[in-house]
Amino acid sequence: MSKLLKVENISKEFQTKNKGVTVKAVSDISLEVKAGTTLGIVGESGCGKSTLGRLILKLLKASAGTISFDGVELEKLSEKELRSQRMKMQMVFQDPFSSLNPRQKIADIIREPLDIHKVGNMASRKKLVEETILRVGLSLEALERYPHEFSGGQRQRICIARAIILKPKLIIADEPVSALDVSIQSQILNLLSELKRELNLTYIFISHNLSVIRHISDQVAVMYLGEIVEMADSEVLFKNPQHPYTKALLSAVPQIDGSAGAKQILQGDLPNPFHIPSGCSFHPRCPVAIEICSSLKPALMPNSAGESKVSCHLINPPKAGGK
Amino acid sequence: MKETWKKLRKKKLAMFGLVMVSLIVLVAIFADFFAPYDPSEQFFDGLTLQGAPVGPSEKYLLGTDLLGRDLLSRIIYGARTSLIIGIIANGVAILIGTTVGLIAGFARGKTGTVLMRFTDLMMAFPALLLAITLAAIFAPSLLIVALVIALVNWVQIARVIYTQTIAISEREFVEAAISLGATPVRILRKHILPQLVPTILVWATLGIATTVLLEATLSYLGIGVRPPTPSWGNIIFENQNYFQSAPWLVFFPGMAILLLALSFNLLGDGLRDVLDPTQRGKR
Amino acid sequence: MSSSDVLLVDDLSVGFNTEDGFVEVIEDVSFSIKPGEVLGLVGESGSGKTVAAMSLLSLLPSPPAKRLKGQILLGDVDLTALNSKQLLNYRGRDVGYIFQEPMNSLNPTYKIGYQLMEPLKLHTNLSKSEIRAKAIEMLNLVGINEPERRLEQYPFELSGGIRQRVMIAMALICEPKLLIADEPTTALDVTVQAQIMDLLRNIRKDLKTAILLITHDMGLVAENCDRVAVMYAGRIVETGSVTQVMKSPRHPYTKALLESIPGIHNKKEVLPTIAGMVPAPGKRPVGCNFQDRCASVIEKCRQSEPVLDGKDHRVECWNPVS
Repeated sequence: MSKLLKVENISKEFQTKNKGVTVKAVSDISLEVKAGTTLGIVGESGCGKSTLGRLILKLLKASAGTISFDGVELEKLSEKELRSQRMKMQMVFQDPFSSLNPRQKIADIIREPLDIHKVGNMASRKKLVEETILRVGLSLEALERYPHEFSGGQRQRICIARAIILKPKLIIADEPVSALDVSIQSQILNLLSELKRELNLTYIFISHNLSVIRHISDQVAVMYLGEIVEMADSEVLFKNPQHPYTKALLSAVPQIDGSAGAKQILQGDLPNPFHIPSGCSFHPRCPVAIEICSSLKPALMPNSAGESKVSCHLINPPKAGGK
Repeated sequence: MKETWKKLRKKKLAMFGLVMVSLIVLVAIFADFFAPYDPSEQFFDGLTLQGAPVGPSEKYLLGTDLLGRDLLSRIIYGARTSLIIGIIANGVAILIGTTVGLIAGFARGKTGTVLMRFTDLMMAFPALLLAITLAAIFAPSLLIVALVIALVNWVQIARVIYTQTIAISEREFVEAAISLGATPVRILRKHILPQLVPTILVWATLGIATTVLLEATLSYLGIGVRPPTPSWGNIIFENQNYFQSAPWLVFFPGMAILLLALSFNLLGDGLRDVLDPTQRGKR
Repeated sequence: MSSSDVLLVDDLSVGFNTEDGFVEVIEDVSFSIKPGEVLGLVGESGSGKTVAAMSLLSLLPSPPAKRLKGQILLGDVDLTALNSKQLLNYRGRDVGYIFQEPMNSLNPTYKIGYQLMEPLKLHTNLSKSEIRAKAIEMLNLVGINEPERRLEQYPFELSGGIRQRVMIAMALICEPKLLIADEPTTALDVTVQAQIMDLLRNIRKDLKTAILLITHDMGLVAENCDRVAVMYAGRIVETGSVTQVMKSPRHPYTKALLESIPGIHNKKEVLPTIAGMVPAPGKRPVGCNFQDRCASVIEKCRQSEPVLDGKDHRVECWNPVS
């Protein structure tokens, strides 16, 4: 399987109204996604996962770093070339209520990607729209209606239809089921899985919901305060979490069968991206932090078993003499 | 659209406004049909033996003015003048204001700041003073008066459109359009502008009231529409000396202005409530 | 139905006056909570669980809300027989509420201390210094450090987790017998959620407060509740102990709901789903509300509403899961 996406040392800093004060939303992130797989990015509020998604799609301009998509370096493209590249990478947003233009008919919404990129003619576009709406499980008569006439789950299907109509290679889904009820959630997750197989899609699935991530991802990256703290195959991460934050995160999720065992309750609040702690950003809340954690930032490296990449001094002790 | 009409029908005041507006427009368009006499025709029996205007009578329903012309006919034709100016002025103001606000709100950055500072500057000028100055510079005709009013009124619209455009630009469906590869022009045209339609519509109706009032003020001050073309403002202007002896000459055109402004205001208010349920809270 | 229950809700039906007429939102809702017990009221959106919770102390604006029938007994007191002025005595004193969005529930223009001490000022005759001391005690109880400093802070200065703790402190400051928590952690991140739920567990242990936990998260119910009531389309379709309902659900909806949750410990290829959508209030079908989505629907389900069946583990179904 080839590498569809390669992100290298991506960072994003936001300027604040106070002169000179910047917020580092994403710090030096590198990752690769193989074609046909799903990368799950999981983390809590303020970890930067949504920002990362938007950086990859170039909805935000990165402060540093490069993105290679399908062999093309996105930074080197002109505005026009970038727009044409967008045909291959699409996004499904979190809020199905606000990601649809309330004044557009569903048919127009779904046909828009075809209009923008001048695909086919009106007749062929109409046909494609009809095929796509049926594919996502809605009826043809939905095409003449407006977004507000549909429920959350149905609107999300419309968003998915809009995202797949150009047959993209990569879809970034930013919390696509978080606003939906559990019973609707499973419908949408199944739809996404089917489409992945049919259209040979690659997904980047962003969520704070570990159960959903577990279900749909092949690889998982755990983010904390703008950095990836652990990355591994899905099964490996959930069965054998390495980083203390990952462990706490997994234990915090309420389980139906109560099999989570004793809960690891983290002290303190979610950290503020404005005040990133020194050294390892997790050290103030880490139950097993040692002295070096507050001064030296750990790097994301494979652990001794080679299965997971972890950024933790306890897992990957720094070499003698320091870096 | 249908839903909007249904909701509007329920609002009695707005419907009253709509009916009145329609009536006034109808009368203005078919002035030739409705007006009993030619508005510039001076009647011999339109003045008393002393040369004073005649009060409301069977022949001259609203009386006559200082030159013996039928007031009713002049008011009816005046409707035409006031409305034409109102519509042109408002239309131009909306055009300029929307363009400025839209570009400033969407482009933001330096362009946006420059445009909005310019707008602020324009807003700082007292509208009336500006109108008087402009009217004094350019020889007044119907069109000039309309343009002068437009130049004064566009600022408010620009500000409102500016803030709304910023708010709309932040909404997720605009981000979605960008991610689909839409050009900025397409986004403005297909995604942002349609959301502004309710605001523009409301300002269009409310704006007519203010533009008509402004026109009346300018005409009253003598720098608006020049006689003999009747406009409600200049009727009052011409006849102001007869205020005490022939009060109907001031009263009736004044009532006409009041009625037009009120009707458009009621209609505009109703439209705003109906088109923007988040503001007032749906029941 | 013993009078030792902290709360007894019997046959409660509440609806709203809308543009299209009167719409019944919750129907025939009955449940009870014993002292020190935690009851989970679980349901998805459209189930009516929040309406049920708000109706208990008449927190819904009426009009347009209207209670059609039913009794609400808080200990020995029939809340339905009280007028709004009398109800004021119970809100905040005998019953504490925590809501979903701590930012919206705290007044941004008042300091935390002021809002925290308000219930005591309203319901007790304690002196100013006594009230202040109690406020500090509560902040300590809910795990907020530097309580004296916190009293002087405003809501915007605090994080979501701390705000929710303040809400809990406010709800408990008059030592109510019952705490109603409406989706208290839905707006919080999962690690903060764990902290808050841990706090509630401790409170229940130390203060012996009964808790009505309203949520859509079955996992939360499994870990924190003694008993659970499942709501669907305005009705309670199943009640029982958590073990009973989770391990052997009797209602097809409960069963389908439990199966459609992506469990963190087992990866399934295709998730079982519940096809269709919840019927909106006012558009509920004749017979069982779940008929169009039910895997075990029979003829009778379309004809008449099912009747409650069972003693400790009760279900409203003509064809319950066996």
